[in-house]
Amino acid sequence: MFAAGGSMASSSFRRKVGGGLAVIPGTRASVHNGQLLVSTGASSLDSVIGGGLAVGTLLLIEEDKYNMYSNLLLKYFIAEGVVSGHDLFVASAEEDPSSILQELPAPLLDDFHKNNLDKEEKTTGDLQKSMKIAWRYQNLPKLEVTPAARSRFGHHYDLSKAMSSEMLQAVRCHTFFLPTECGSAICCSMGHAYTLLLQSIHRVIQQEGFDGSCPQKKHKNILRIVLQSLGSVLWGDDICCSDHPQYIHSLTRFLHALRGLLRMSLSACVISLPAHLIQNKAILSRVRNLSDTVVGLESFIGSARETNALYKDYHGLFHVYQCPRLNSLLCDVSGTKDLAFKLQRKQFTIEIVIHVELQGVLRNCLHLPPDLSDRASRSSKQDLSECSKVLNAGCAAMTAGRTHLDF
Amino acid sequence: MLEEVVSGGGSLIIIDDINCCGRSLLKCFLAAAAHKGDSIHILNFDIPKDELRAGMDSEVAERLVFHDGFMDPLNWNGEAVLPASPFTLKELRVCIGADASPVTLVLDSLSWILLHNPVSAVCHTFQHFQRQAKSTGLNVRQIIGLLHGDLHKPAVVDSVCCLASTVVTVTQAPSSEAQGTAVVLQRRKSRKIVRATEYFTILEHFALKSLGQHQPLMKLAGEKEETPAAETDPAANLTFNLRLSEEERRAKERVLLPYHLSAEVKSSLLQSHAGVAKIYYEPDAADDVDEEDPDDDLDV
Amino acid sequence: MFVELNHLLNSDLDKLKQEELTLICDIKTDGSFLVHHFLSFYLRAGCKVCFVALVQSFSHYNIVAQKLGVNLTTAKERGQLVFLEGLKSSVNVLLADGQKSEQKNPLQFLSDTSCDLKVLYDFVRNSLALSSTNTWKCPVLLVDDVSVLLSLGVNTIHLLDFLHYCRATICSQLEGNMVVLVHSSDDSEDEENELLVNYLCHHSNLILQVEGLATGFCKEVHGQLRITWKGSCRQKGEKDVVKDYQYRIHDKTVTFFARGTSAAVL
Repeated sequence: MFAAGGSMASSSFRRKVGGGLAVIPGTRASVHNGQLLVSTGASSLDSVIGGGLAVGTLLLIEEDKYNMYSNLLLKYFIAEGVVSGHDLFVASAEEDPSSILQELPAPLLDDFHKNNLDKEEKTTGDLQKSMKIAWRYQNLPKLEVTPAARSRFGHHYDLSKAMSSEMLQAVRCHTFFLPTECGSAICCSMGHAYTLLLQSIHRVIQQEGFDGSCPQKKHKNILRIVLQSLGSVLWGDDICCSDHPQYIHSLTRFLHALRGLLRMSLSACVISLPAHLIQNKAILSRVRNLSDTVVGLESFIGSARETNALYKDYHGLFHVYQCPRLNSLLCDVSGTKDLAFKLQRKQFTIEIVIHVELQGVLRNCLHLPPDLSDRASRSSKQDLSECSKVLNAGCAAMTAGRTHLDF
Repeated sequence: MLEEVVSGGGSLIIIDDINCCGRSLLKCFLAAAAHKGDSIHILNFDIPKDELRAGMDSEVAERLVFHDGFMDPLNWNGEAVLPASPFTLKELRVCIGADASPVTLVLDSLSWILLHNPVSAVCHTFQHFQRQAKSTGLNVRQIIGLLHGDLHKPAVVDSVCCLASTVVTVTQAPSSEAQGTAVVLQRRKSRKIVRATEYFTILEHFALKSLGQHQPLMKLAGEKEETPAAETDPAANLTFNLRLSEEERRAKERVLLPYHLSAEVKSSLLQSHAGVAKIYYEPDAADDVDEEDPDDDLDV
Repeated sequence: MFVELNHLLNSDLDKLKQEELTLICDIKTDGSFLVHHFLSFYLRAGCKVCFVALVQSFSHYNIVAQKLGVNLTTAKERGQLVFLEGLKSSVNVLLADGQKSEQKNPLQFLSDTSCDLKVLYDFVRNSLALSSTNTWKCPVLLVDDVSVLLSLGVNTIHLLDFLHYCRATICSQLEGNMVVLVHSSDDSEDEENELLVNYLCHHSNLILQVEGLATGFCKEVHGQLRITWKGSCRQKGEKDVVKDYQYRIHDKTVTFFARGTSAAVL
């Protein structure tokens, strides 16, 4: 694991800055334990998983039912990599990675700030010439205010615009599209796709020196690995379409080896997995145990909650199932909250849902807020009870146990 | 009933789970069989022979013959004593060898054997070993197997237990006095099935003591036995007197309480007196006494 | 090592209990803090330790061990600690895929799932073998964690055999100790894993079950720990002793307290 303090010191005191690793653009040291973090591109996701994704770890996103929102998170991650100047490795079995790269959200960068600055300059232009109070500083040279976009941690994106191709060309992208790698129309035998993918990732890490094997490279960089819809049928795996899959170990073996590769290189990986299709819960728990951070998206589309007034602002629930303990006894994320996400025209945000006295609402209709009580019918009461169950389940997501109070 | 089983023959399976280990009960059966004069052949896979031998008195210990399957069962170190598998009649017969005295065969544990051999082979051997051994001159009086019920599918456990003449299922005892609860299921030769639940405890040198079918008195764990002797008298050192002497008691009984009327007064009151005032009431016209509505407040 | 946990377990650096198999079973939470405890405890006690680490890298354990006062690098250099980096070995095996390497990889069985774990057992036995030059106390085997081997495709019976051989050699023959971490879950969806957990429960001397609170996350109490001392059948039948505690993890230690006496309540 890479800590921002550099080599192993004999004392436990480590400087948070320095050692050469924190100088990599687009990264920063975690405030909790000095872990090197990269941004996932969505600032609300960063804050929910403890400040960012730690370098050398794996973020598993359990896809929502129609795979609308998890793809967005993958695109945010790639876009953040482009803006920060990191190397990219995008793998998919469904769509050509180059088409994924065409649809990245545009960052809100210099334009935004430049526009603001232009406005500011016009208004303060007259005052520039004669400062009333700070007149001693009148003749000092003006400092550039535009922030250096690359070295900043986390950026904002506009989903309604696509990223320009010039920005994309400045960054090294490695792609892995299974149909072209495999060589035949129908996917290759069980587990073979994962082996090819693992070899491809290993090749990139070794050749580009992310594991420190090329000492002449002066500027260290991060490799961002994105694997779309791993475990789906298109990868040649049958865990999503069968109760008793034939080769239940191929995905878990791949994940274990990937973990080994990530731990010994400067890379961060995001995987999306169609968890709602996996019938065998044992496999899902094994996959979760082999990942570091696990989050899940549960969209309201097609469920009864879509028309539920309580969730009218949101598009789905967001679960944090697992957070890693890295180089420490403690876990970065403090507490599980009831989280929900919403997709607006320009951005995707995750928010804490504030629900008040759901139990009270069920018992006595008089406590309902006015707009809900008008439409209070049997079905909506059922929704409320369902969503209270879900939210309570979400409460105990990270540390769950039996259902009785302990003290 | 447990004591009956201990002295019986045939085949016996002890089923335990992770909450209550059945090995101590197994050792009780071993000790009882040894005291009867049997030669005990043990195939130990789960624990080393020292642990099995520990706690037994010398008379029992010298009758124990171990066939060690614990140290190197699969011959990884080249020191295997038992053949790795299969668990067949022939292999087992060869393993035990010749023995003049009656033999009790102990399998610790049957679970290990079931995990490493096909269920059908194990069942076949278990069922036919006694008969086949007799034909070759070996008198196998009893076969005892320890089975960990939660390591196998319920169907496998049931299939194996069908073959045994007695099945003892050991579970946790509710109170701290008993070592465990044993549910004994016995198939008698008279085609009768006997089922009993008993609590048992284990004494020194693995002597089994059955505590009967009723729950022993619940005692909190850690509570010492209270000696009934020196019972402290709580009324001993008080500044006020809680006791009555004999005189005081007699005086107390003699006191006449108010409203405690003497016999004469009572009898005089009970008699009806002439001259007692009586009240005659005659309702006049203004009185309208309605039996159903004496207070006149019903609004019908 | 956590001083409070030593008190609860009655373990003493000077008077080590031997021939013990300790099982750490975590249910939907992370019980790895107990692995860190035992690693630092046995290194401090002067035992020879073989650590089979299958889920985290060496530097992770080293950084945490330093907080607990033990340096794994120096322990490795002077031969007290033999560390198997499972992640690296697994990558080598899965990438080699058919090419035979000269060095025998302890996780060689990953390339052929029908193969048993004798190679790993030989590695463990050789690393803990008694030699005339060493002055270490009893040998200790630490495995973190065993459930991952099932995820990697190892046959459950082969895994049980490996654990049996480790127990026979290390606990019985060499009179050492074993500490094994296994994941479990209440709903027992994973049958192979449940068989593994039950097998280990039957043969352990000490079981530490770590579980999150049923009521969800709490800042003061991170979970509860159930300690079970299994009754031995050596002298006469002894019953299991079970005790429950709650714990809170800090940066350098873990505090334990009786249920209902956490800072959140009192």
